[in-house]
Amino acid sequence: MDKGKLVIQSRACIDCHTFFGNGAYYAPDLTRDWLDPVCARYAGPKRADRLAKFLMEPLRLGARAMPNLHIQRDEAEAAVAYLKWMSAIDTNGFPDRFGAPTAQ
Amino acid sequence: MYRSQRLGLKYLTASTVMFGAMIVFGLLSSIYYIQPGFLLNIFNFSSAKIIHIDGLVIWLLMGFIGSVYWFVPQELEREVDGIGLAELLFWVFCAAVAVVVLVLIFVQYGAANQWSMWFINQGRKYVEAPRWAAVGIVVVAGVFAYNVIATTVKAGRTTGILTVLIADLIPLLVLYFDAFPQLTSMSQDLFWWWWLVHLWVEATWEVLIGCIMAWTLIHMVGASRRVVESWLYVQVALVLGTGILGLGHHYFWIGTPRYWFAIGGVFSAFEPLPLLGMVVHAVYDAGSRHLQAANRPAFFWTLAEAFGNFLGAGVFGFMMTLPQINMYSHGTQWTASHGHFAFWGAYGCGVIAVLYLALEKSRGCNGLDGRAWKWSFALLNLGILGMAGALLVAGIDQAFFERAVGGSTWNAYLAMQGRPWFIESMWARFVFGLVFAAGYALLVYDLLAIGKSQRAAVPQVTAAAGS
Amino acid sequence: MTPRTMVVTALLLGAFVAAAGAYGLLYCLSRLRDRRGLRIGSYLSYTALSVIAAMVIALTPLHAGWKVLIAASCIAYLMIPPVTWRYLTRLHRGEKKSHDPRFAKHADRHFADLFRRA
Repeated sequence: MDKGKLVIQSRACIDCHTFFGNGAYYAPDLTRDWLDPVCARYAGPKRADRLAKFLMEPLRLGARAMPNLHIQRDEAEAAVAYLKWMSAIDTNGFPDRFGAPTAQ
Repeated sequence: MYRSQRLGLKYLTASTVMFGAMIVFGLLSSIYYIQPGFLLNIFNFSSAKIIHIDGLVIWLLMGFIGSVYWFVPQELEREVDGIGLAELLFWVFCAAVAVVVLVLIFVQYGAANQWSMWFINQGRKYVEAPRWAAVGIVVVAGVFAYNVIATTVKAGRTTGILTVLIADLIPLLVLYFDAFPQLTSMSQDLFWWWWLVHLWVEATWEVLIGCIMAWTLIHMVGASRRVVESWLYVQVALVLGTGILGLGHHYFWIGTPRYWFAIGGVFSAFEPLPLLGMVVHAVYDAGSRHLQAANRPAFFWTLAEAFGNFLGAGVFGFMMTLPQINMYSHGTQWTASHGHFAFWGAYGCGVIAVLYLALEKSRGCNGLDGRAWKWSFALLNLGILGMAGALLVAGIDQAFFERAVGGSTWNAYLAMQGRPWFIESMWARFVFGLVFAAGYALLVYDLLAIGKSQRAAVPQVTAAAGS
Repeated sequence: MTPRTMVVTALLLGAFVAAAGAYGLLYCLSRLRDRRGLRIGSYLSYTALSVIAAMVIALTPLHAGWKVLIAASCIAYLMIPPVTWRYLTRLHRGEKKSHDPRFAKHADRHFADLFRRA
């Protein structure tokens, strides 16, 4: 976890993303990143692996592209483990109804 | 002029330069939203944004420090103690800022190790500057506090404004120590980080700008010290009474207990009340003088401070402060809308008012007026209104579609970024950013030129601080 | 809370404080200028504030405690401009003449008017 947090700080992830909604708004919130439908369809170890690979070689997603921050394998794995841990923290329901779109 | 006032002018100059740097990197940050892939892997959004928001903190801090160095010797009618060291540290501060900015531009980030934390980027919002620079800021701020306190002690007397300022400087400095820790738990990290950020901008900085505005009123329009100080005490009590526990509005979603909903929601709902009081006071002061003042730019920027603070911090803040709304507005451009407007209204306008006041006195003028300042005033305020408005539209759109409807997923986020209102808002924000930048350019032109052709036709009358 | 209700509630809350600001501004201007139009404007602004507060209380799904807070704020916003105004005029009553001779005459005359009306 220590290493994961250090990765997040060293790459200033909070200056594009948000954590518990705090940060910058240029990239998605990462509070429940581990549970996002995009990656939740994969089982645990495969999910971790795919997320780590994404961090090492980011893809362009729609109009927004994540830069390559030269994250090494061990750093990526630590960051993913950190995000997994963070997704379990009780944030009093934030973000509301995560992953469940509702009618307007 | 006292040496301290010359130093104050240097700080105010450096503050103006940093203001410009903040604008440049702010414009740059806004381009990423409207030009997909802009400078990808060359100079990423995060790097531009870091310099933008850290530049904000530095330009305002330098403005505050410069203002205090300007006013203190007049307050105590003596030179500031330790001024030699303060003068040296000014250049050290500027050099450190330059080095930090250059590293953030050319190195940007490092590996996950302590070297990165100490020398490149700490990666915590507003306090990304590496630890060595944070140490430097502690030293500069410590000497600054020493200058103020030692001068007061050696003078053997104090004033109401100075006492409030000194009482405020100590927690302000102590809070900055949160720029150092590297806590593993994001909940704990943010818990303490908010002590620094909130208790700076919604508590200690409010008291600091209150003291600076008190001095400004005395020296700009000859306001009675008794009146100004009485008002200062009331405002400080109200601002701290609502602002300190208003910290709780940052504790809704970071993994802290639910009782923060009640504490944070209630106290932050009270925060606009003293701001309305400030508006009343501003209208009273302005109206009682028929909007006349010898230093018209300083006068109008002081007015703008009261109104901007109320609108940006009060109205825009109240809109999103209750937890039922904040659940959706949190982490969207809605926050950015409030943040831009509030910082400008609460602090930016005040620093510019002092700039004009200091220039009037340092150029030996008997008042200041002209055309350029009016255009600059209009463009800067129009620019910020436009940016805040554009970000509000984008933010409400985001809160509605991405969060409330979309369920806050990656796909909801990415879909939102492509929505027409969002894209149009980002373009509008950029355009109004250009308007703001034009206002800044005019401001600089005016600051360089104003008053130079005027010289006091009669011996300069100083608005003495009656007590 | 539905998404639509959330946005409407937020806008109402912002309008609530904005109306308070308008009321404060117009109240002060009416004390300075003693003009009927400004006085009516201040009453209308406060009426708008009250209507907005009533809408928040009646139409939004906020918990009762928050609605009490809005109602209490309504009362606080009513009192702030006149109380502040009275406090400022009382403070200035004992004020020495302005030390800026460029405007002393102006300020003296105007302060005298303010004290008479306070």
